[in-house]
Order: sequence, then structure tokens, then C-alpha cells
Amino acid sequence: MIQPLLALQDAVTPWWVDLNLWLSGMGRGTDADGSVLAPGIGTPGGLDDWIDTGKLPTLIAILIYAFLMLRSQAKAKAGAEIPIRRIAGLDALDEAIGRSTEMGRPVLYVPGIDEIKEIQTIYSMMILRHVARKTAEYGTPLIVPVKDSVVMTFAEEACKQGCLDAGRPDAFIADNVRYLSNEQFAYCAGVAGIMNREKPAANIMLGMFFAESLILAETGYASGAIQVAGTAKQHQLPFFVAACDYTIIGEEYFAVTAYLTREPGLLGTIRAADIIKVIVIILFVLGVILATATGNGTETSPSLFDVYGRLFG
Amino acid sequence: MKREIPIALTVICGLLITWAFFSPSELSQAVNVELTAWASIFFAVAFLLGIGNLVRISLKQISARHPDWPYKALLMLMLFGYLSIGLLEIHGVIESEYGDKAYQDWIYERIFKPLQSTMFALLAFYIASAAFRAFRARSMEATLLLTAGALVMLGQVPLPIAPPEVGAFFARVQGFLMAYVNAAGQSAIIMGAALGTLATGLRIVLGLERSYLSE
Amino acid sequence: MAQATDLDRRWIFLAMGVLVVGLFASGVSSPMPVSRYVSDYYDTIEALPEGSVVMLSADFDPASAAELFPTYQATIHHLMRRGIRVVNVATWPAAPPYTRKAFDAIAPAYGREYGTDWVELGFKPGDDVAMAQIGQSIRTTYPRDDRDGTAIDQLPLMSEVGDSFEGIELLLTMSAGYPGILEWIAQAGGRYDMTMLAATTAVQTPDLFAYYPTQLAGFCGGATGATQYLQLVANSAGTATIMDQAPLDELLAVKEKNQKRMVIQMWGHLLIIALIVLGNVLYFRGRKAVA
Repeated sequence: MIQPLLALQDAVTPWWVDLNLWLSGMGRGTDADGSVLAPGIGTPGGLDDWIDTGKLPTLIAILIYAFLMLRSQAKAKAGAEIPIRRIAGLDALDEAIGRSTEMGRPVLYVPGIDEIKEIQTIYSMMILRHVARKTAEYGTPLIVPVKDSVVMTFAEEACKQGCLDAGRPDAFIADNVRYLSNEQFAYCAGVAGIMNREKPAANIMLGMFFAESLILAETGYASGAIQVAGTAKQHQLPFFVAACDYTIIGEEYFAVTAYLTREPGLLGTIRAADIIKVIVIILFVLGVILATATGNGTETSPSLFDVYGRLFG
Repeated sequence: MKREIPIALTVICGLLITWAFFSPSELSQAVNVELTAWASIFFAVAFLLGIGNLVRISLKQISARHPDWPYKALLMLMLFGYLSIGLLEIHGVIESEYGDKAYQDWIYERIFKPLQSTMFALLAFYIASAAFRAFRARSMEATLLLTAGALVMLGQVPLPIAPPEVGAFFARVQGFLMAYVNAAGQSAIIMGAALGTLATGLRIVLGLERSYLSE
Repeated sequence: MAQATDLDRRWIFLAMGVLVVGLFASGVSSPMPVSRYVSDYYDTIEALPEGSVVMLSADFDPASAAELFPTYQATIHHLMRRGIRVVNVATWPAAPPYTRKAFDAIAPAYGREYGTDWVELGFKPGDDVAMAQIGQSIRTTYPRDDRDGTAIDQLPLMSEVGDSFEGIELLLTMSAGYPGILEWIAQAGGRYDMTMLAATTAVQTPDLFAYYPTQLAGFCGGATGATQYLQLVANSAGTATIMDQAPLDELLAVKEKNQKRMVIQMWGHLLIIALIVLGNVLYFRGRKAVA
């Protein structure tokens, strides 16, 4: 991409070339002839001392996203209706807990095997609070095996809070939040042991999963439990789809608490994500059209500015 | 205060790390290095919390003669046994003619490695039973899914039992499915999930998301 | 439907077990055609100038070693044959015993010396945080090596490596999951524009196509990719001056073993396809009977 850009720059240096150079941070400092390529770049105390200009587009995109999110939240709080389509896997959560209650058997909640710094794990803790509230309301034991000790403290808090939300603080059983092992397969064997020995009637697996997903899902199937699984980890989804009764796929996972609680702040977040998605799709289509029209389709990562330059430059 | 202080810390640390991602300034990078070092230490120390939980629950079940108590006893034996052997070897209390960490290595090679490999190998059996049970041509989508799965499986291996053209055909089909259909689907899921991750991350960093903390 | 679900799944386990064990005993092997992803992995290493420094991250454990360790061994052969120097790190605690064993067996056979041609920095806890730290400052992250606790600045190779991956041409990871290639892409590829190569378990491989070839220059996926790469490395092994033939013989044996495994995998895949067909036949017969 550098060669065509420099060729264009020699000819006219149109505005989009300057902008592209400035945004991408390419050729930071001065050019071979000593001229400064873009304003504020390469000069002492200039912009690039404080902002990595190569990451500026990312920053702008995040700020737009944050703006849309806050605006959507404000709208939702003001009473605007934000509908969410039906997600079967989420409706099944209550059904699974109800079934466990009828059978007098516990509910098993597996929050994945990642650490708390993973957003999916934090999200899993938020869903756990909802599940703990439901199980406390029904008086059903909830077992939460964890692989990480920090996640354990969060899981304890989530369960405790869920019981408080239900008005049943006594329903919290500290021994049911269990640290098993920090080793992936030792943890997996421990969870499989709980499934086989304590026979939970519902297995809820929500969070970040790896190779243990199929072992857990198949063991849960063999133990006769109803299984609801969800992850945004795309390469484990096929295993859950094959072996579980309900699967929450990809970004549906991040809609769980909004769907369950209908809290305006969370609904606004979903709306903002959808708006961004539409913008991204439009950019995709535009990029494909421009790349195709200029015969630039064989390039691995054609810059939109470069394509624009070739078309109109 | 139990809730406000953690939220304030989350917001401050989140903003500092975000600043360090976008700013190459010396100050932001120094803060970033310091905070990531704290995080490493924090995660290492927090490990003890887990061990505490494990020991507490296991000892309780052993003393109450819970039906699972023999498993718990074995767990405690392995946990403290391996830890003790490591400590004794490090401090030279026990020595072996086979090397510095010979006893630890023996446990690693003879117990840990085979157990881990066995657990991973279980996948071969479980995928076979899941395929038999779950892949049904119930609908157009399900039929496409199982056909694509079968084609990829055939293209992934050499087919010495078939003419070379047949093997090459399946390899081409597999290549096409993986590089275009799979990559497109993966990208879409990654992007959707990334937006969800970003939204949740922003809510946490901005202090808007508090439900993961108790009240 | 009833018939299909009534079949005790232990019969399926038995069929798979007998098939795999039986084929292991029979010893049939078959070469694999090389895919472009694997040939890009090979070519990227080939294109490095002699004396370049690369970082090799061992992000696996015994569970995934069957898939990844052969590629790890072949990669060391390839790098050592080409005279490329290696900074060896690990983000999985169970990886270092493998890495030391492999380097100690292979590197000296090509006349390479510890400290000059490769260094062993060992395991660093913290997953992607550890990766970020390695990127920020390798000296702060690893003040000493993992071999005998030598201060990092006393190792001649490390004098050419600075912060922010300065001096490192390429980053290779043998990735079994988390943390692995996706975290390296974010921490090293995204932040420092590092060229990356990866060997991954088969289950992780579909993820990689979305990153190839922009963020990932090439990859070896699962046992299939490992076999293809082993073939390429074994074919070019004769071009090197080697002081000890034993590691090379071992590589050829590993290649042969992997080619046998591919035949076993083929029959395993055919069994799964047969089970899918059988399951569907029983399902449709059951539906017809109900109707």
C-alpha cells in the first residue's frame, strides 16, 4: 500500500492522502526530503508524543460507540421501547431451574475456565446473580465449581447477592461455590465428577470454554441433565450446539442480562451495538464495491483511502 | 463504601490502562508496566484463596464422612504431597541421583502427563457419540451443517484408499469451506462478540456496570 | 429415533477404541499434500536472514503435546538448521519440561550453543498480562533465565534484544488455547506489528482463517498441519551440516509416526461419518414408524 500512496503523493498530495498518512501514523516524522508529512507528527511535543496516531481510528470508533451507548441508555431510561427478539436459550434458563426444583436436585452453574479479567467471565458472574436469585426463590441448591480463585470470590459475591435479591439470604451455601483446580483438565474431571455423583438436573454452562466444553456437555448429557450453554468463544460453539439442549451463540451471550432484567441501561447497550454493526456492514459493502471497482480486490488489505484515491485522484 | 471503593478503583485502573493503549508517552507506559506487574502479583497471591477454599471444603467432607470423602482424602494427599516434595527438593532435604528435581519430574512424567493426555483423548470418543446422537438432517440448515462437517473431515486427512483425484477434490472443497465460508462466519461471530465485549468493558470502565459487585 | 438414542454409547466408544488401537498396531502410513498455510509457515522461516532472532512461545501442555510437540521439534530443527537464534518463552506452566528437552536434544546437533544461539527464559504466569509484559520490557519480565538463573544481560544473544520486541524478527507460538495465538495477536501483532506464525490444535484452527494472512503469516493446524510441516522440514534436512545424526533420525521417525497417525485419523473420521449416516437412517426410520 505504501508505493501507490507515495506515487499519488508525488503527483498532487490530495487531502485524503494527508489524512490517511496522519491517521495511520505511517512515515511518522519527516519524509526523505525533510518535509513534515502531517501536522503535529514528528515534531517535539507534537501530537504523537501523547497519542499513537496509528490507533487514532480505533479511539474515534470507541468514542463514537461510547457516545451511542450513553445516548441509547438515556433514551431507554426516558421510556423508549427497545425490543429484543426471543432467544430460546434464555427462556430455557428458567425452565431448567424449574425442572431441577421439581426433581429435587441441584442446579450446576459452570462459569467457564477463564480468569476474571476476561469480559465473558465477568458477564457470567452477572448472569450467575440472576440464576442464584431464581434458585433461592425456588429453594433449589446451586453448585458453582470454579477454576480460578479470583473468580471464586466473585462467584461467592454473585450467589450471595442473588440470594439477597430473592429476600432469602439464608439460601446462600458457602460450600457450594467450589474451587476445584487451576489445571484445565483437572477442573474438567472435577466438574464431570460433580455431574456424575451429585446428579444436578440442570447444567448451565456460560462463559469462556476451551477443549473441555465437549467433555462437560457429553458427561452432562449422559447424566440426564437439561443443558443450557453459551459462549462467545466461537470455536467451542459447535460442540455445545451438538451436545446441549439450548445454546446461546456469540453476541447473544452479551444480551443475556438485558434480556432477563430488561434494565434500560443494558437495553441501550444492545441498541448501540446494533447501530455500530449496521455502520460496519455499510463500510464492508462500500469497501468491497470500491475494491472491486478499482481492481484492487487482490490486495490483502486495501486501504479505503487508497481505493478512493485511485478512483477519484 | 464496600461498593464505592472497588468501583472507583476499577474506573481509575481501567482508564489508565486504556490511556496506555492509546498513548506512547513515557508516563502512560510506566503506569501500564506498574499496573500489569501488580496484576501478576495479585493473581499469584490470589491462588492461595482457592487453595483455602479447597482445603476447607475437603476437610469438612472428610471429617463428616461424606460419601465422597475418599476422593477428597486423595485430593489432599496429592495436593500436600506434591507441594512437600517440591519444597524438600528445592531446599536439598531430599536428593536423587537422577537430577535436581527428579521426584517432581517423575510425578510430572508418570502421573500428570498421562492423566492430561487421557482427558484430552476422551474428546475422540465424545465427538463420535455426539455426532451419532446430535447430527440429524432435521432441516435444511442442519443438513447443510452435517454435510459441510463431513466434507471438512474428508478433506482434512489423506485418503490413500481412494484415487488421488478424489483426495485432491475433498482437500479443495475443505480449503474453500474453511477459507471462505468458515472465515466469513467466524469473522461475523468475532465482530459481534467483540462489540459485546467492548460494550461490557466500556460499562465497567465507566462505572456504569455494577451488578457483578455485591451491594 | 427411539432406536438411535437407545444405542448404548459405550458401543461407540468401543468401536473408536478398537479402530485406533488396531490401526496403531498395523502401522500403515500415508504422506499428505501440503496446504498453502503450512507452506507459508515454512517459507516465512526460510525467508529470514541467517542470524536473525525470533521468539518462540510454548503455549501448550501434555494434553495437547501430541498435536503440537512434533511441530515444536520440527520448528527447532528448521530454525537451527538455518542459523536463526531463538528466545524461548512459555505462558503455560507445563510447557518448559518439553521445551528444554527439545532444545537440548536438537540445537547442539547443529553446533548451536546455549546463550549465543538460544536462550531459555521459561514460564511466566499472568497469561495475556504476561504477554503484554514481555512486549513492554523483556528484561523486567525475565531478569534471569530459567536454565541456571543467569542474569539476562550476561547472555550474549540478549544483548541484541530490546524492549517492545526490538531486534526480534518473528514471533512463533505453539498454541493450545488460552493464552495462545489470539492473545499474542492482540498483544504483539496489534501493539507492535510483529509478524506471527502459529501451530495450533485442530479445534482452534478454524479461528485462524480470519487472521490469515494479514495478522498471521502462516499456520500449522492440528496433526494435519504438523504432518505437512514435518514433511517439508524432513525433505530439506539433507541440506544442513549436522554434527549428530540422532536428532535428525528422531525427526524422521516423528514424521513417519505422524503420517501413520493421519491414516488412523482418516479411519476415525470415516467412522464418525458412518455414525452420522447411521444415526440419520435410524432417525428417519423411527419417524416413518411413528407416522
